[in-house]
Formats: sequence, structure tokens, C-alpha cells
Amino acid sequence: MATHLTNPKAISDAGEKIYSRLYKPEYEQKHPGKFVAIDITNESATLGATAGEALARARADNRNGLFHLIRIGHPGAFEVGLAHRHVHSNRIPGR
Amino acid sequence: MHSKSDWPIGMFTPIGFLDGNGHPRVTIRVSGTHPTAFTEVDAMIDTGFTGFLMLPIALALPLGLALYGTGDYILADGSPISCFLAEGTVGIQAASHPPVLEPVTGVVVLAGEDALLGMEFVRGLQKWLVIGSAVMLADPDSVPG
Repeated sequence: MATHLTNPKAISDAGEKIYSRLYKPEYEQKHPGKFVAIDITNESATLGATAGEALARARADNRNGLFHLIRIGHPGAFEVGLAHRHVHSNRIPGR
Repeated sequence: MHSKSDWPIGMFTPIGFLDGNGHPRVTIRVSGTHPTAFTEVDAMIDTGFTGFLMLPIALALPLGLALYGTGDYILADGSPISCFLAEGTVGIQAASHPPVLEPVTGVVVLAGEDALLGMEFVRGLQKWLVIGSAVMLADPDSVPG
């Protein structure tokens, strides 16, 4: 696997590419708002109503998997409000 | 419409406090897969955070949280941040007796400079969260409906 496992951006990019190539059109039509865990080791996808459900199911399917979490139809898996308003993004690990 | 006197005050359980900036905080105990490793932190309740718990990496590393992989979160200005995600268990350390809640397991976002409890955690409480001059929990049955 070429993905650099210590870099969350690289893992995220790999997961996003798999999602866009294999699942995005169908999932955005059928499962908007749900969570999907993309296993970048085997390109499988696991759905869940919550982040925890999707990731727990994905791990149960592949104990050695490495997953990228996506909220279907949203720009990110999570949103953050007030607490980070004044924190510059270059101070946050993984940016 | 209910008057203040309709609310059974004795059914409210204090679980937290307002910090110097007026933000609600709760002292939580976070643990991972290691049976004896945990940390206690005053986490801020942020209803604008859609996740379960955000925890600075420096606090999370000693706990040995089981890594899931990654996810992106979106800041208030719309910019995305890629970060690691792990499985963690959160218990509330309240001064009250008996223990307020059974510990809850969820997805921990390893990022930021402060511990944040988000709406996925709040929903998982299955209780009413009351924030006023203090932070309290109420059983749904005790809240006038």
C-alpha cells in the first residue's frame, strides 16, 4: 500500500478516491446523511446510522482494516462550531 | 406551557459547571482498550460539534485508544481538517452518588487543543441535558411534556 499511514490527510485522500470511484453516486442517492466507513486496505464500504455504528461494523468485518469515515452528502464526517473559531488550522495535527 | 414550579428539582442531577468564559464543562474519564489507563479532563459541551468526543492527541496517546482510521471535520469557516479517529469510552465523573451514567463508547476525534463533547455524545445520554447556572441531567420521565 502506497498510502503513508502516519499522515491522516493521505489516508483521507485515499478513502475519498475509493468512495468517489466506487460508491458515491449510488450512496448519495440511496443513503444521504448516513455514515460510510471505507476500508482503504480492500476498498470495501460499510454503512451505519452513526459514525460509531459504521466504524464498529467495519472493524468487525476486518480487524486489520484501516478506515476513512465519510458522512454521505456532507463535506466532512463532522462539523465543529465555536470552539475552533479562533484556532488557526495550521496548528491542528493532520492539516 | 409550564411554570418553573412544575419542574421537580430533585430529579435533576448536577454533572458539570460553567467555566470562566461561561462555557458548560463536564469532568469526564476517558479510557481505551487498556484496563487501567484513563485520563480525566474537563470537557466542554459544544452543541456545534456533531461528533462524540474530540480529544487532543497529547491526551489520547497514553490511553492506547484503538485506532479506526481517519475522518474529516469541517471548521466554522468551512475549511476541512483530516484527523485520526479512535474508539474511546467516556464516563461522567460527577460529585453525586450513585454514578450518573454507565460509560458510553464512541468515536473519538484526535485533534484540537481542548476536549469537546459533541451532539453524538449528548444524544447517547438518552436524558435531557439542562444548561443554566450549572450543568445537569434530567430523566425524560421527570420532564413535563
